[in-house]
Amino acid sequence: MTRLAIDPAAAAAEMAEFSRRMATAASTLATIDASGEGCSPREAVHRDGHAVLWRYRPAAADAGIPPLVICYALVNRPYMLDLQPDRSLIRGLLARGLDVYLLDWGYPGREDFGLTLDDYIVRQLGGCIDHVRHAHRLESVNLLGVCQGGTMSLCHAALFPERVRNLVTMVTPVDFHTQDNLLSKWVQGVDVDRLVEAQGNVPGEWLNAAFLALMPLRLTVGKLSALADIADDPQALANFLRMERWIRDSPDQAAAAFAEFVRRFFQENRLVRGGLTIGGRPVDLRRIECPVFNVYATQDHLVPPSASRPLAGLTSSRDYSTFEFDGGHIGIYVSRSAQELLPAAIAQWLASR
Amino acid sequence: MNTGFPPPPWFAAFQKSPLATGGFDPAALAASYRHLFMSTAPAPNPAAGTAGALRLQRATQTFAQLAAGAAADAGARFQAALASTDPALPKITTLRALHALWIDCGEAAHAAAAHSPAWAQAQAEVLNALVQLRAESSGASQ
Repeated sequence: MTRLAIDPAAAAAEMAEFSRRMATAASTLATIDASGEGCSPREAVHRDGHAVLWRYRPAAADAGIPPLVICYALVNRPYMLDLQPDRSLIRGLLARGLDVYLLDWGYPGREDFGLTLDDYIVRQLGGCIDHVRHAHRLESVNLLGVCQGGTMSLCHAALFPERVRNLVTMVTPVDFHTQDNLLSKWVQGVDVDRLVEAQGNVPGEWLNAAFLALMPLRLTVGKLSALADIADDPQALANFLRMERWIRDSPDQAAAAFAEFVRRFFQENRLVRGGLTIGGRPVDLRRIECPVFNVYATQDHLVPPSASRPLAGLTSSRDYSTFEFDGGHIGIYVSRSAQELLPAAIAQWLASR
Repeated sequence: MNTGFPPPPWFAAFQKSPLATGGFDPAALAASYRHLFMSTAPAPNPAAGTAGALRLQRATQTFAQLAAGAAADAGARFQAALASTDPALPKITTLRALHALWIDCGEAAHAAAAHSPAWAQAQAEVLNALVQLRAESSGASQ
């Protein structure tokens, strides 16, 4: 007995149709222009090395909410947050009257070999926050950190709590040693100091390969074979291509900062265990007293919810709340349900504080 | 995962192959590693010694064995899934459904292996060995 009940003639027809669809998809993909970084108008208002602070203007009446600075991860490009008009967290926030700033870390070059976490978290992120504070004559701003950017935002808020009015963390790893964190397990044995000494900046392609290796079949063969489903839909193919471009568009990682992050966070888990210092300054999450909104995805294979949830007991905030999104690490930004739920949830949370 | 099915013939052959038994030529491996793994790395200098190359050989041998084990497990899971008589499971009537089942079984086998300490250790050792080889080559070429 077997569950297999494939009729040979039907299988042959299915293969022929699949081949036709894949050929159609390939032809259409070749005509699509997926260049550009984001879809919303913006202007560069501050620069520090390769880092650029972009300002987006509200698309609706000013909601009267202090400006929001978004700190993205170093390992991917931030235009994921503004990928296309119908898949843009930033658009959703602008439509609710928020004044949004986005910190774009840029593409580190060989000259950035020695950039440390102190440079990123204190100087560059701090410089951007100070620019916004001065521009709006405010003592503090709202800060939203994404993934590794959330970890960095937590560090910044702990070092300079007076600068952060409200803190939102999205799919942010806090405890790097939970049992289901596969990426963390994989890096425990890596001699990261020797790696950067021999290699210099870490190529973005290496990180891509590691991320794909987490689900090697689903994220390669599985995803590509699904192209057949959208072969006759040019819009869906364009969406696919934009996503693929973003996935492959990984900046190289500045050697010193990469080694620091892997060692202190992934390997030593110091954000949770204690003993973390950035630029010689101790980082203690208990110094965070502002309201905290922790958003995470229940099916996140890259930053499992178990890595984000522990934030609950680590700060001194008396106004801590969470938002569990039913989806994955990328879906939380580009899925339809994310567009419906997240901008509203974040805007509402900020508006009431 | 023990499904009661014997390992496939290719796996038995693999277990006897030089890849599994360590019959590599380290010099040949070192000469070709950059094409396999690190295209931006300089060509290795044979005069630099073969410590890194030998380490890489051992590391890839160990990791390849684990990967082959995961692949065999995936195949066994796939066979078991197809042979299941559970009436709640639907019949596989299309190639698409068969492909989806194969991916599910493959990912399950990968997850079971990839979360193990042995896998993490072996994978890290491949990277550490590559780094050593690169460092030796760079140092010897200066």
